[in-house]
Amino acid sequence: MARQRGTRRLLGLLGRMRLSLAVFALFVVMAVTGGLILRDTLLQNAYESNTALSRYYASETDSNLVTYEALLEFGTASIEARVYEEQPWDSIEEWANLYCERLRTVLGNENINLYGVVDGRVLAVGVPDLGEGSDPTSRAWYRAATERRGEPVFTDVYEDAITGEPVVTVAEACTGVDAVLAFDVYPESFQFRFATSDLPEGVSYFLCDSAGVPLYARTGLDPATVAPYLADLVSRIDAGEFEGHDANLVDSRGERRAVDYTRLSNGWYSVVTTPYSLILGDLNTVYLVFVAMGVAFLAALAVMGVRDWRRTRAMERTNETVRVLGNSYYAIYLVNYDEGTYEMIKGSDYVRDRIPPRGPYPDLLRTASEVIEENTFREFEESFSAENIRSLVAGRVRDYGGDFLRKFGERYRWVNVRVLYDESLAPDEVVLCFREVDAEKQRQLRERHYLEQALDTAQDSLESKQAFFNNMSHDMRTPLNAIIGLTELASRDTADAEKTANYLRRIDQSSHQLLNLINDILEISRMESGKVSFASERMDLAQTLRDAIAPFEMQAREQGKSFSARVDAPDPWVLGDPMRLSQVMNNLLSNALKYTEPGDSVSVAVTQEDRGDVGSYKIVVADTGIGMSEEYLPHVFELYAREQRFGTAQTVGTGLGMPITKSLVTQMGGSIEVESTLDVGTTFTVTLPFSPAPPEDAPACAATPSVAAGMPEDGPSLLAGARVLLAEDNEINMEIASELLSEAGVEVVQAWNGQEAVDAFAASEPGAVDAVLLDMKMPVMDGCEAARAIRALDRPDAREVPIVAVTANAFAEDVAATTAAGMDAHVSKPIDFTVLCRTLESLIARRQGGDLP
Amino acid sequence: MRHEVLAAGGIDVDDALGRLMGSEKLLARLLGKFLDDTSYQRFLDAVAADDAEAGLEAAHALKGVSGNLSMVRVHELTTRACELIRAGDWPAARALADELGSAYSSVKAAIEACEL
Repeated sequence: MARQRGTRRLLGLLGRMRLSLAVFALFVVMAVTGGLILRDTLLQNAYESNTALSRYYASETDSNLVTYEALLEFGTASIEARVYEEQPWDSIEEWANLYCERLRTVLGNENINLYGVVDGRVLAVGVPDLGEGSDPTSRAWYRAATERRGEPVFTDVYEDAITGEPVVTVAEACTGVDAVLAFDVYPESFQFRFATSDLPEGVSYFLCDSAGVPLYARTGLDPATVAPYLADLVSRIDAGEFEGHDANLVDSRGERRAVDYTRLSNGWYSVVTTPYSLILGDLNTVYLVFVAMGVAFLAALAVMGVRDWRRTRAMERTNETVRVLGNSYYAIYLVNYDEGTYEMIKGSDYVRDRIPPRGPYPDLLRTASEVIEENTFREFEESFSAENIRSLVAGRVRDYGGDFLRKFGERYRWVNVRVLYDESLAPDEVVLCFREVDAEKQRQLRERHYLEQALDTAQDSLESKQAFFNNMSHDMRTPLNAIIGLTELASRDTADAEKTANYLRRIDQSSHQLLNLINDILEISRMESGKVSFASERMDLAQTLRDAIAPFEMQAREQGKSFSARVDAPDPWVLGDPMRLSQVMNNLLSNALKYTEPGDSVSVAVTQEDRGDVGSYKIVVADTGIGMSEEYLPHVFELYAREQRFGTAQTVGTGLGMPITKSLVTQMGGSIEVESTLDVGTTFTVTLPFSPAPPEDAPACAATPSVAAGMPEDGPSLLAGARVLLAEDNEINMEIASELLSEAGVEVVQAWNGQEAVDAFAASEPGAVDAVLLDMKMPVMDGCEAARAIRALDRPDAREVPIVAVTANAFAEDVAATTAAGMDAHVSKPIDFTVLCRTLESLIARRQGGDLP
Repeated sequence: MRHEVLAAGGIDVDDALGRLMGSEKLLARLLGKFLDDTSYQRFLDAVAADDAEAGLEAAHALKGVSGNLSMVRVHELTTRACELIRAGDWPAARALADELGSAYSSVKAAIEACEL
């Protein structure tokens, strides 16, 4: 696929570069043709000039030989006359000697010998004979001369029979008589007076006989190689290889040379060879320039091609991307708002069937009106009229569009339309594209619906919260009004002690009710913000439950209700938070007592369900009270859904107990269930998991540190005479606490910070201090630190002396901190004298009880 | 001791007396001591010095005392200041200084008016 695309792209590229390639080809053809013509012309010129040169040398040679010919002709003419006159042999020989002398004189060569054959008799001057007594008529010179009588002939070079030196014989036969005259010429003695300086550098000139034996050579070749070279050259000339202007050969040095020659009348050759490099020297430069130009041309073409190819590729990628983008749209139109026309790039089946690919824009709009609802279409027409599009472009409004319902067949579906444009690319033109967004739109609508629902729910929640606060305020106002009213009554009737006491008691009740309510609200608020913490400490589950149940048993009896409690826990030692567990029991039991009448019964049953790694304990609190309606039952644990509850007269509590209980139980990992029948009774079943506690040596920790409310009051007598170490840094607070405790008969030892308290305790006799009261926040050393320091002291009472924290923050975290520091209980600031005394009493009593055998 | 004057100054006299076993003498003495208590001044100093920690310490002390002496408004404001500082919102706690000032002045004026 990719390769196919690549091939297609390459073909396209070549197509586009057609012209450039043609120009290049033309250039190449012209360059080559021009080069060839030029070469041919150069060769032709060289041929002509070299041929002229060879001819010139040939004629020079001829003119040189003419001397020999003239001398010989003179000789033959003379001898012919003498033979013709039939002169005696002696006079012929005499003449021959004379003639030879003259030859030697004229030619300046003493070695020239004359010989010949006259009437079959050998004539020889200066030579004893013609060698080996052979027949002179068989010699080459004789044969050549007799063949061409009356003409001087030159033999080829041959070795002299006597001297062995190369020699040329010039011979001529007489026409009238039988006489042949000859003499030898040594090639080295040829008098070539060539103006060889005419020869250009590198050009060689050779003169050789018809067999190629060199007679004269002017060349750069090694002299030893000249003879074979010429022999080869001449044989090839004879073969006709060196005809024409482009005749050439490659010499022994590998150099290509043009060969031009002239054949002399005596068969010798005058040869001129010229190196091609010399002839075509400039042509090579021209060729080089041509090639360079061609390469440059080609390079430019290649660069252009690559660039074009890249651009094409990028464009194709863009095109593909645009096509992919276009797939998102079921219809795309180019609208020219200036001319009021459209062009359909992509159209829906419906539109394609009705309007042509191009046409007036109003036609397109009219077609659109057929599939868009009437009201929507009016808006559509206004928004996408040519005029409006023009103003959009003028105002540079980007990405204008919207969603509308369009009919597809029988069904309406959501469609999104957009106006896109780039005035720099296509002025007066915009792209109008349509995309189906039904699913998206439906989802949006659904989400919006959900959001609205969520908002409604939140609103409801807010309203129920609002109702809750309204009710709370109402509930708070009730005891508050009672307190105000009773206070007024009490202050009016100060004389009547009994009445005053009654008012005060009722005021106390209302105050506690209000305090409970506020505590509950605070508890809920803390739970909602997730700020409730749970301790995990060793506790006796059975004892904790019994302690929690005890006050209610008394209260039930007082109210004339029967109360039964059964705690059956084989593994009472568990890890848990006794305070939270007590809180759960308090809520369940106070609820049971609240909704029962005298004569009803309340029962508590605690059983252990599972034994093992994690024990499961079931607490069932059942009553035979007024019960709850079926309608209300599901809402019993809900916080903000109890309007009617707050309105009912019989509710004396805050009504927040159950949600708090549910939250506590859930956070302890347990569950709570409720069964109730109106006028029959209610049963709450709590199931809680607890891990068994590891065994501990000291049983002293069986104590339940808790807010010491609801402890049986045995009178203040227990505190009388007790010695309490009181640590408090504030003078006023110190005085108040001291006064109150002194009033109860307590001997107060004052300490102004934690360090002083520790020091004072350390200084006291063991057992002399009955209890320690520590303010939490003190300079030098705070309450927790002081408690830890006291517990760490090495004395028998350090571990068992009751330590009570006095804190302004009665939150679970603070309580947990005091417990962790080894404190037994805590009381809140501002100090409630009754609570303080009760706490101290119970702690001192327990210690005394523990001390007893 | 004029209860209405103290009440007008922001002290819940009955509540305080309830805590002090009805001893007006004790209350009068404690109120007198309250004028010498430095917690409020220390809070102002902490506000001026922009020292959250010192502010918490002073507010906490003032909260304890004012609670014991049933100075309702002062107690409320210091309680809120403590909560805010603990929650890390020292600027908001500082902003309470003016309100606390007026509550404190009322209490102080009432105590002084009673010549305790």
